[in-house]
Amino acid sequence: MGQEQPSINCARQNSVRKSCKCRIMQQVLKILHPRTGKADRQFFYPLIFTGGRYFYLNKGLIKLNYQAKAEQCMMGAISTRNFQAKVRSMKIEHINPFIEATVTTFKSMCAVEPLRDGKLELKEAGFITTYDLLGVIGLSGGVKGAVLMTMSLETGCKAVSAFLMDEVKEPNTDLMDGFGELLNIIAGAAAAKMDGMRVDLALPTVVLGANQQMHAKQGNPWVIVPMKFPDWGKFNIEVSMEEV
Amino acid sequence: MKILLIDDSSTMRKIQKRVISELHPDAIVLEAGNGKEALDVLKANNNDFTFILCDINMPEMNGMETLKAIRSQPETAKLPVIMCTSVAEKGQVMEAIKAGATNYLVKPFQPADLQSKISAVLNK
Repeated sequence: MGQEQPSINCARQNSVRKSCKCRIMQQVLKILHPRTGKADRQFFYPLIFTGGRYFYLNKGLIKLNYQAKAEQCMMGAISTRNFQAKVRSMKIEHINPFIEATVTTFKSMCAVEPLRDGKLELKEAGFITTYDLLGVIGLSGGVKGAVLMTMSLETGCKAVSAFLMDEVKEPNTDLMDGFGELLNIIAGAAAAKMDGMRVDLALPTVVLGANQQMHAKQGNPWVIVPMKFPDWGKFNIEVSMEEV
Repeated sequence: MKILLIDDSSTMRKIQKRVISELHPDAIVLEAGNGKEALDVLKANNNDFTFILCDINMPEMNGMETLKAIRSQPETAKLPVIMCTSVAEKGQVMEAIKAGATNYLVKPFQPADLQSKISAVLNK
């Protein structure tokens, strides 16, 4: 990606381990990688650590490079306080399972490997523009929220055709049902990757129509993951989720 | 050989049907969109099925309720039931096994995965 590698210099980490500010720092480490604490460029790095900002926590220096464009709500001088608030309301490490599940599902069921297509976006409130074909599944249990997949009608037809191994040329039951089932499989696979947390899935709802807009409620931010198929076009996976 | 597919997704039933027909071209495959329909199909066919392939996340009567209903009736209690579902969380898989699932296949799956689960059930 060409950006600077995120780095953390926590000389006084031990002395401030129990402080509130250090907890923020530990959450940052967790965001870098849920298990190792190392930067995960493919998924977490683009959201949090591009651009260039510095934060001083209890005289220990944490150098955070974050992407101002993607984190629209964090534009300008981000404070550690509002960073912590973001981390609390929407755990960024919960996005990775959905991205991994999307790749796995399309590879297994459609024999195509989707790719990331640009930076993650965070939409805190207001309208989110979607493609023509939109599927959504509510999440409950240990979390509350929803996962959404949206793509153009043409891309959707190609994806469902590959899933069904039978050509779908126009909107019909196969398209709507197949699209919902693909999303259902993605959501189920992602839910299984969330260690120690039960995530129950609602039944998928699929909507077709031009110029659709979805409204994000204040306090329930959506993380938008732009993706693309090598030959079929673009699509988005969008997740809004918080632990209960 | 007679097989009952229970899944609310007609697309998934088509895929399963195709995979089964590759393995057993002569198999008779019946379909149901939820648990209630499935119990009706079972009754209408005198519970005469080789095995059942059952989804979990379905409207009206979900897969777990269906499995428990099948296991609670003496006529159907011994029918092999393969749960084929996107529900992959360990606790829920264990719940299905405890409720009497013969085998468990998590979506997404490759056709070979489904075929091997079917072969395992038939060879029992």
